[in-house]
Amino acid sequence: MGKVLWVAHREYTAMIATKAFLITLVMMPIFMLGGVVLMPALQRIEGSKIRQIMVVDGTGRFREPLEMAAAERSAVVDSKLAAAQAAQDGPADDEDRTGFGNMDSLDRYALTFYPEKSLTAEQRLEFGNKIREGELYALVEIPTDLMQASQEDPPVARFVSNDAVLSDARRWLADVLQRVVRQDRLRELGLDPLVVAQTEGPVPLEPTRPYERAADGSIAPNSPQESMTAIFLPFGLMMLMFMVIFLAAQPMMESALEEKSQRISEVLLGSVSPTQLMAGKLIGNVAASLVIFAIYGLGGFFLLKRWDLLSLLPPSLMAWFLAFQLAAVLLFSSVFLVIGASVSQLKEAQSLLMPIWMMMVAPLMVWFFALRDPNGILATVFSFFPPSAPMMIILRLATGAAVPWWQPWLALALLLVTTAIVVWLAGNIYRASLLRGDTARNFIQLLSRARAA
Amino acid sequence: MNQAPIVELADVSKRFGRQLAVDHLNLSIPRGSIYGFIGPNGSGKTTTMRMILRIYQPDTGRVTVLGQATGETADDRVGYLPEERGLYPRMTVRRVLRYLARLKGVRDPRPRVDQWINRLGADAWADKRVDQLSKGMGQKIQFIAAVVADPELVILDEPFSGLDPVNLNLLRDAVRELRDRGTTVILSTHDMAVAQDLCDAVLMIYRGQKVLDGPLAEIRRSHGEPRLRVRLAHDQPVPEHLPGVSQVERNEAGFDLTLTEPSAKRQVLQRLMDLGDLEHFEFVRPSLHDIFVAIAGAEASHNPTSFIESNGQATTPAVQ
Repeated sequence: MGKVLWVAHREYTAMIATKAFLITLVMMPIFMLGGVVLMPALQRIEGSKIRQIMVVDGTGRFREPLEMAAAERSAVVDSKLAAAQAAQDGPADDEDRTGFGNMDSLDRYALTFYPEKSLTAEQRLEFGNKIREGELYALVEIPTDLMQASQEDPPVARFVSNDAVLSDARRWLADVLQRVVRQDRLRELGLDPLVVAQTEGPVPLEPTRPYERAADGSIAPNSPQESMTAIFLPFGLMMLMFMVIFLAAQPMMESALEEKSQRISEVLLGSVSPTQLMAGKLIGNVAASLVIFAIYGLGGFFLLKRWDLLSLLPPSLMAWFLAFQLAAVLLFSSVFLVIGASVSQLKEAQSLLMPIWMMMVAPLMVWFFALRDPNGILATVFSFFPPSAPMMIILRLATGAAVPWWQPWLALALLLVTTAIVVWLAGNIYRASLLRGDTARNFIQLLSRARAA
Repeated sequence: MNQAPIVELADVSKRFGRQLAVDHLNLSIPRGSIYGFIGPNGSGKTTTMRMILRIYQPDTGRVTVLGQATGETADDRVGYLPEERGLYPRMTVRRVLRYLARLKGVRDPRPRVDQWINRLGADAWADKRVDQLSKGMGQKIQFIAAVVADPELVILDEPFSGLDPVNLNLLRDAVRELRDRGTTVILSTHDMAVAQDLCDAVLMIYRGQKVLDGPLAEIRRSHGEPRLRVRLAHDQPVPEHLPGVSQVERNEAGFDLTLTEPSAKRQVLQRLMDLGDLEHFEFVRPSLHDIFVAIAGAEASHNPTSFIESNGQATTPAVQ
C-alpha cells in the first residue's frame, strides 16, 4: 500500500503543480461563462464615448424629447461610472434598466439638430462621407409625415451609421421616437396616455415552486422561483461536473503517455506492478479532482453567499454531486489512462478519445430539454446511461424538481458497476500496453489487449 | 553468508505470439558475482531479465529469486536499470531519485541519494530538472536510480550503451565496487569486450537458447583453440610449417600461431629460440568473441543483428 500511496502522491503533485493545469483551472470558467463575466470588464475597457449625432427632424416635434432623453442618459452613465469606480463592481446591475431599455454601451449622445426639414441627395452624400471619416457618428432623418397615423404605407425614419445594425444608439432612438409618436397618436384619439399606460400594465404571474410543509407544520407560500434557480444553478452545477471530469481525465492521459514516451514505465515496473501503478495514479488523480471541486465549490459558495442565495444549494445536492464526481472521475480517468498507455503520440489518441468525448458531453446537447422537463423521457434515459449520468442527474436534482428518489440511486449504482468493470478492463489493457511499442488504433484492438493480458 | 544461488531458472520458457523468446533455459547465478548476459540483440537477454524481475511471468518453468519462486513484482532487494530507460523530465534529479528509492521501500532516501550523487560526481546537477541533463549525466542518474535502495541484486540491461569513455570507466568502477561490497550484479551487453573485462561469469544466449555459461576464466580455458603471439627480432618471419602449429597469421604485433594442442607450446618455444632472437612470446587465451564465433558458427555470423558485426573492432588482446 505504501508504494501505491507514493505513486498517488507523485501523480497528485505532478498534476496540480503544472502550469497547464493552473491555466486551465482559471481559463475554463472564463470560457464557459465568458460572455457574462467578461462583458462588464470589456465595457470598462471600451469606456464611455461621446457620439456625435446629426438629427434632421422633418416634424419639428422631437427636439425637446430627444434632448431630454440624451441628458437623462448622460446622467445615468455618469452615476454608473461613479458607482463602478467606487465599488470596483461590474456596472451592469439590474437597476440599470431605464426608460430607454437596457443599456449595453456606456456612450453618451451629443445631438445636433439640422436647421432644414429635409436633405437633398447631395447633402446626404456629404453627411455620409463625414460618417465614413469618423467626423460624425450617425445621421437620423425623421420624415415630415412620421406623426400621421394609420397610413397604408407608413413613413420610415432613417438611421445612418457605419454600424447601423448593431448600434445601441439606433435602439435608443427608436425607443424615444416610438414613445413620442405613441403619445401623440393617443392624444389625437382623445385618450389620456397615462390612462392607457395603466390599462396596458403587465399582469404579474409569479413562477412559484410547489408548496411544502415548513418545519413548524404550517404550509407557507413558497418563495418565487427565480431564473437563478431555474436555469443558472442547474446549468452551472452541470458545467462544474463537466469541468472537474475534464480537468481530471485529460492530465491522466498525458501522464500515461509521458511515462510511455519518455520510457519511464519500465523503470517503474522494476519496483511496482502495473496494478499498483494504475491504482496509485487513479488515487492521485481523484485527489486532484477533489482539489478542483474544492476550488470551484468554494468559489461558488462565496458567490452564492454574497448574493444571499445559499439556501438554493442543499447539502444533499452537494453529497450527490461528490458521489457522482468520484465515480465519474474514476471512470473517465481510467479510460484516458489506458488510451495514454496504448498509443505512442498524442495525435494517435485523438481517434480513440472522440467517442469518449461524445458520450461525456452528450448531456450538453440536451440540457435545455432536460431542464424544462426534468422527469421527461430524455432526462431519464440520459440518467441511466452511465457516461452521461453524472452531468444529467446533477442537472435534474439542481432544478429542485421531485426526481423519483430511486433514480439517483439506480443511476449511481449503474455508474459504479460500469466504473468497476472499466477499471478492471483498463487494468488489464494497461498491463498489456505498458511495454508495447505499437499503437492501438481502435477500441477493438484495445480490448483485444485486455484478453491478451 | 548464504551460499544458495541468488537467482535460479529451471527449465524456463517464454513465448510472444509465434516467437519463442526464451527456450528451456536453466541457469544458476551465485551470490556476489558480476554475471554477464551476452548475445546479439534479440537473443532473449532482456526477456530473461524481465522474468527475473517478475515483469513477465514464464510460460513454463520456475524462476526463483532470493529464495522466492513467485511474486507479482520484483523484490525490493532487487534493483533494475532497464535498457529502455527514462525519468520524469520535469522533476529535479534529487526528487526523482528519492521517489524511485521510496518505491523500493526506502523510508528515508535522503542520505543515500545524496551519497550516490556525490559518489558519481553529480552534485552540480542534483537540483536541475531531468530534461536539462546531458546524455552522459542522465545515464549516471539512471544508474543511481537502480542502486540507490542498496539492493542485494542489481540487474543492469545494457548499462554502458552510449557512454563516453570517462563515464564508462566511472560506471564500470561503480559496478565493481558494488560487487566488492557483496551485491550481485547481472548485466547484459552485446559488447564482448566489456563482458570480458568486467564479468566473473557469463551466460551466452543465442535465439533464446543457452549456448554457454559459467565462470569466465573456465570458459576461456576450455573453449577455443590455444594460440601463441610471437615476435622475432629484426622482423624475422616465422616459418609456415612448424611442428605443433596448425596455422600462422601475420599481424601488426608479430605472428599469431594456432597450436594443435596446448602442450605444444614448449616445443614451439624451443624451436623459435633456435631460429633467432625471440623478442615476444605470449600464450593467448581465446576472446569471448572468438569463442562465440566458434560455437554459434556460420549461422551467427550471417545474422544481421549479430554482435559479430557490431563488435568487429573488439580486439582487446586476451593476454594471460
